[in-house]
Amino acid sequence: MSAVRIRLALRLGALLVVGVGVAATALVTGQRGIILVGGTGAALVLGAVATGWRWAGSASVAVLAAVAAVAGAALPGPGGTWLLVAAAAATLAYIVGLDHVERPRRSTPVVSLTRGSLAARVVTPALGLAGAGLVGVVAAQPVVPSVPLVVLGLVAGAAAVLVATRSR
Amino acid sequence: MTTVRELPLTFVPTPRLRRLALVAAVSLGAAIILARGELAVLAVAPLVLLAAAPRSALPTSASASWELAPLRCVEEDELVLSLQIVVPTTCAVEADVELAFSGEVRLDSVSRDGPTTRARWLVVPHRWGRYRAEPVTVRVLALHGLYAATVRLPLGELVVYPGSGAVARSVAPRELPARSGEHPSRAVGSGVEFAGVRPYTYGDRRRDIDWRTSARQSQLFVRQYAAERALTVVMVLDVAVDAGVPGRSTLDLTVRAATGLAQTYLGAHDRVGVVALGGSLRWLAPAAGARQLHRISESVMEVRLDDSQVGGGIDRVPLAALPAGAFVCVLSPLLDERALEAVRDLRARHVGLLVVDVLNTEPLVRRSSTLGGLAVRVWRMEREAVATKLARLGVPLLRWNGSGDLSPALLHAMRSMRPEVRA
Repeated sequence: MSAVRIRLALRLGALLVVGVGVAATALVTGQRGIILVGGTGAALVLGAVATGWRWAGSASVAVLAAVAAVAGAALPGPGGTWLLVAAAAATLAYIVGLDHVERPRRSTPVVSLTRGSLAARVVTPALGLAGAGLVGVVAAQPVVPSVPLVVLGLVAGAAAVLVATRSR
Repeated sequence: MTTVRELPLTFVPTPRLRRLALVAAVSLGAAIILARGELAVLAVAPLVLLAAAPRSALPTSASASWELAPLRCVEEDELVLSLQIVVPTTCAVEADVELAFSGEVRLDSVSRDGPTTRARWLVVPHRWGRYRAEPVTVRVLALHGLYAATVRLPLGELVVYPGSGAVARSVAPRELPARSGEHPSRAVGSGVEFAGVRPYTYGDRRRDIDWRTSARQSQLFVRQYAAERALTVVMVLDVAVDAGVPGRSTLDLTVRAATGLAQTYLGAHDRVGVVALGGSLRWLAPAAGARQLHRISESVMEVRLDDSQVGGGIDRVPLAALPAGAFVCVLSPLLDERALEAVRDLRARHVGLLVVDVLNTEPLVRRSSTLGGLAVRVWRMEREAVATKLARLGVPLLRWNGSGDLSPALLHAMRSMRPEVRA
C-alpha cells in the first residue's frame, strides 16, 4: 500500500471517529428518539466518508449539530456547556476533514501545493473556540436579567452583525 | 513554450462556508426553540470564522506561468509539466492534473518561496494520438478555505507519436527493382557485397581482377559485386475496426507496426508509402527520406479521427501509390470482409504481400454461458477460415501481438514471393 493510500485511510478513519463521536453525544440524553437521531447522524457520517457525496456530508453536519445541541440542552449544569464546546470543536474538525473526503478519487489525486500560513489556519479557529468557551462560561453563570445587561447584549449582537456584514 | 499570464480569480463560497453557516443556524435555532441560551455556544466558532473572512480580503488575480515540454513526443516519453503561481501567503493552492489521454502523472517537486509556489510533474503518455491537452486545474483557496477560485491552464496541443520497435532490421527480397539503394540484390552491379567471379573481358577495371583465382585458373578473372537496390514498401492499414483494450487495441498495434516499418525501411534509404483502408480511403505515395517519416507519422495519427464508413476499396488506389515491384504489408485485424477483398485485389496486382494479423483478443463471454462458448467457437472457426483463404491465395499470414520482431516474417514473405511477382 502506497504512502498516499495509507495517509488517506488514516484521514478517513480520524474523520469517522470524530463524526461518530459527535453523534455519540446523543447517548447522554438517554432518550430513544434522540439516540435514533444520533444513530442516523452516525450513519450519515459513515455514508459521507465512504462515498464522498457532498449532500451526505452536509446532511451529516446538520444532524450532528442538532444532536450536539439537544445533548447539550439535556445535560444539566456546566457539564452540558463543556459538552457543547467540545462538540463545537469536533464539528469544526469534521467540516474541515470533509473537504479532503469529497475530492474526486482518481488515480492522480488532487495535489495540495501549499496550505497557507499556519497562523492563518490555526489562530482564527482557536479564537472561535475560545469565544465559544467564554460564551459557555457566561451562560453557565446564574444571571439575573437587568436593563443594562439586556442593552449590553443588544449592543454586542449589533456589533457582531456589523462585523459580519462589513466587508460583504 | 512557457505561458505567462495574469489570471483573474473569481472566488465562490465553498461547501465549508455553507456548512459553517448551517451549524450556526441549527444551533441558534435550537437555542431559540428550546429557550436555552447556552446552545449558542455551538454557533460561536462558526460565526467567528465567517466574520473573519470578509470577501473584500480576497485577492483578485494571480500571476502564473506554466509549460508542458515537449509538446511532441513518442509514447512512453517523459514530459515535464512545470507550474509557477504567485498568490498571497494566506492562500492555499491545490492543483489537479487530469490527463485527457491514457498516461501517468507523478508529482516530482513542490517548493514555496514567499508568495511564489513552484511545482513540477512528470507526465508519461501511454497512447499515441493528438490531444488538445488542458489538464491542469489550479484551485486557489482563500480565507480558511471558505472561498475557492478555480482556473484552468491551457497547455496547447500535445502530439504523441506511436512507439516503434516492431522491425529490428530492414530485410529485402533478392530481386529488386532497378533503383539504387542499400539492399544487395541478385543482379550484378557496383555494390560492396561479393557476388562471384567471371573471366576478364576488355574494359574491366584492373583493380577488380581476382589475382588468386586468376593464378589458379591461368586466366584472368574479375570479381563481381552485387548491385545495391532500394525496396519499395507499402503499408496497407486496415483501420475500419478497432478492437481490444485501449493501448493494445488493433488500431494501436497497427499504427505502431506501421511506424516501426517506416522507421526501419526509411532508415535504410528505402521508399515507404501508406494506404489507409476503412473510413475514407487515403494514401501516401512511396518516397524516401526523413521528411517521409514525418509525413507517415502524421498520416497514421489521423486514422483515429476518421469515423467515416464511406470508403473505397484498394482498386481505387492509384498506381503511383502502389507501384509495381512494391512489397505490401497489410496490417489488419481481419475482422472486416473488405480487408480480405483488398488482399485479393493486391494479389491481382502481382505485388509481394504479407498480412499481419493484429487482433490479440477474443470476444468476451461469461464462462457459464453455453451459447457464448459456442459463439466463440464459431468465431474461432471463422478466423481459421480467413487464414485458410489467405493460404489458398498464397499470402503469408503472421499473427502479431505487439511484441516480437516482424523482420523474420517479412523475410520469409519476401523470399517466398512468386516469380511473376518479383520485379
